[in-house]
Amino acid sequence: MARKTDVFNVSSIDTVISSGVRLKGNLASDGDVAVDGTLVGNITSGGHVAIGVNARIAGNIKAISVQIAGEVEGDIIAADSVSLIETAQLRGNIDTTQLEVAMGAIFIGISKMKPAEASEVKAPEPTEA
Amino acid sequence: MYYYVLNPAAGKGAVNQMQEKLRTRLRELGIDGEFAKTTGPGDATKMAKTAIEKGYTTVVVVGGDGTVNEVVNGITKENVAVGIIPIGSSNLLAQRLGITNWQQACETLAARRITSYRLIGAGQHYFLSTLTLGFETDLEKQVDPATQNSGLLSRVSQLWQAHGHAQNYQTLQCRIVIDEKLELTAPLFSLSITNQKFEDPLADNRLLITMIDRPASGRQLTSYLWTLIKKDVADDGVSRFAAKRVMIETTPPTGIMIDGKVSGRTPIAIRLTNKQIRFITEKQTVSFKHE
Repeated sequence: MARKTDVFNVSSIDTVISSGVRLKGNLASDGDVAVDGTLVGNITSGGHVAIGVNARIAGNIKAISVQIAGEVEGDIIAADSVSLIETAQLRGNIDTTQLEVAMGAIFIGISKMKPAEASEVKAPEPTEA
Repeated sequence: MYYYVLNPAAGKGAVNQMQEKLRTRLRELGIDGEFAKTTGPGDATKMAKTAIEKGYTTVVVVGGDGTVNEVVNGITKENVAVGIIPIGSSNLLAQRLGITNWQQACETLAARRITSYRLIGAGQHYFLSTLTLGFETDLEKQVDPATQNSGLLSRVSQLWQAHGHAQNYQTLQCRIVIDEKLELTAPLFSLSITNQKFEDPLADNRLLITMIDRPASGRQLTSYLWTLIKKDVADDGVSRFAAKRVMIETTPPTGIMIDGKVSGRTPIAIRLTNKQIRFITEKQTVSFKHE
């Protein structure tokens, strides 16, 4: 069973909303965001978004990476990755490059995957002995 | 050109016992200057203004948070640097600048590393460091000041008092409008607002709002209170976010405390102002904490 600490590392996260808090409006942050409360509105982050096991989000999420343990009703756009852990319930579409869905997670929607840009690995120049 | 604003009542008169030692050390470091003693509330503000009129570019507070706040309100030019030699009963501002005692403060003044901080406006008041409301504020008013020192027995006594107070403390209903676009409602146990730049000198000036949920169990309450008494940062049940302005309403209305001094009641509008204060700080200007 997922615990709050599975997705929360409070001391290193810029915006943290705990379980008793209700928010109405759009939440925007340049850094990482962790929500374990209730939000009616969108989340836009320049970093990682963690949706805690107690969280209920009615809105879209746009970030570099998104990890969900709670309930989300909205679309997810993540440049890097989306991860649904076992307690996650997502009703919405996912647009990302890497997707992970744990056994037990509920995902009702469409996922649109973009291939990650392959990085060219250059062999080292031979050197004379 | 150093101008020292000295509060002789700070730290229960502690300054009077170490004044000669202090002046000797300042002379050794080549940063001696003019000393002026405050005689009552508001004096430090007037003295800071006088110092600037006389052409001083460095005003040093020899006192605690109350005197620092008075001096800051008298700084009318942005090229003036403010230093702190902490000898008050509350030295939170100095601690946030990395200054823990008067000897280190003298070295810090001589090294003269400068960091600028924007003032925070709360209603008619301006402050630099911390605004609190809720349980912590209420506790500050209730706990016997005689028990407020760092000894173990004293801390256990504070914990005992705080525990008793927490049992009877009624959680507030709180509504916060953040940057005029996001509305937050929550049962509120404790809230504090500071400039996030005090946490990280490289960060932008922003209001950093920290809310604490009521601890769910007796064990969590004890753990939280112990954190509070040690003046550490609580991690559990914390909400934290940055903003430029917030409007806070509570039901019922409650008192707020600014840098340890009771300063009004909710509802209150709090904003980051454009006025900057240049502090002489111990903190490094380069942070590696994110690497």
